[in-house]
Amino acid sequence: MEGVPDAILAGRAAAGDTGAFAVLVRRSLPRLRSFLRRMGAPADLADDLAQDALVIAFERIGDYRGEGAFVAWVRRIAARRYLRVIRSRVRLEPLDHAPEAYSPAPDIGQALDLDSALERLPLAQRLCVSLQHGAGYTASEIALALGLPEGTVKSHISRGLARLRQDLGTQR
Amino acid sequence: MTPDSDTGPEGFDLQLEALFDSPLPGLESPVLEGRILARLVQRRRVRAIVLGLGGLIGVCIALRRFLETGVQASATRAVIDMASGNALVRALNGALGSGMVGTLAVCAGLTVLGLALVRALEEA
Repeated sequence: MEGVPDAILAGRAAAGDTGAFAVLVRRSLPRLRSFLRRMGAPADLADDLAQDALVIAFERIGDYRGEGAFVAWVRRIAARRYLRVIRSRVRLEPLDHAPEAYSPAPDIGQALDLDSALERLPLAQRLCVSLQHGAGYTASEIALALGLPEGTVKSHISRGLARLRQDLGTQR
Repeated sequence: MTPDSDTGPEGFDLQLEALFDSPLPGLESPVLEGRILARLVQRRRVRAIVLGLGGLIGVCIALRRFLETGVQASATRAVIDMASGNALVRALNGALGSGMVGTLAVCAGLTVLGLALVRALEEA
């Protein structure tokens, strides 16, 4: 069943075939855990959220239309779960009042890899960039999810991307 | 694409989509996969039990009404109607003494109970 497309497996899972869903879990779990960690979730929380997201995905498998990869669809579910945790624990300040958690790379001449650069971003920027590029959210969807003005979200994304370029040494 | 555009993300040059689509090394976990599948099976069982209990309660309530209100009046009619094609529906209808609503309630209860039993058997 390993070569079967996601949409076919999802159809079988919707009919109650847990074996088909097991293949989807095997395919998507490492990327889902990675996505959550890249968003900033600690390892334990990322694992819990990945589990929750896949259980929810199985319950709602009929909603997956086979447009795009299954993991992309589950990433949106996982992102929503993580945002719920974030919103209950952290108050995301508007950009102008956000504490400046970012510090430049230790060695100006040393380019970081993308993962390390992402890790160095302030939380709000990291979340906004991850949601847009990892979960396919639009700026307006991010604004709604984070309870921030849309303009603030766009600024977080722009500044986040600029800092990534700076750390990667890829000023374009 | 401008930074303000909402039609697509800026920053394609960074290949962030590819990054988010790639797993970090060492995150394959058969144990975690097994835990997720176990949770799915457990949730199905719980759901089947809840549905079964609901159906059982529905049947019990309907039976109680049957015994309280309709048993004497219905007995003769039910026996007579047994000869006709839809004897069961008529018997239930008459027995409950409250028309089709009561009959449908009993039928729904029996159906849910049956479905729950099927699910439980599938999971066993």
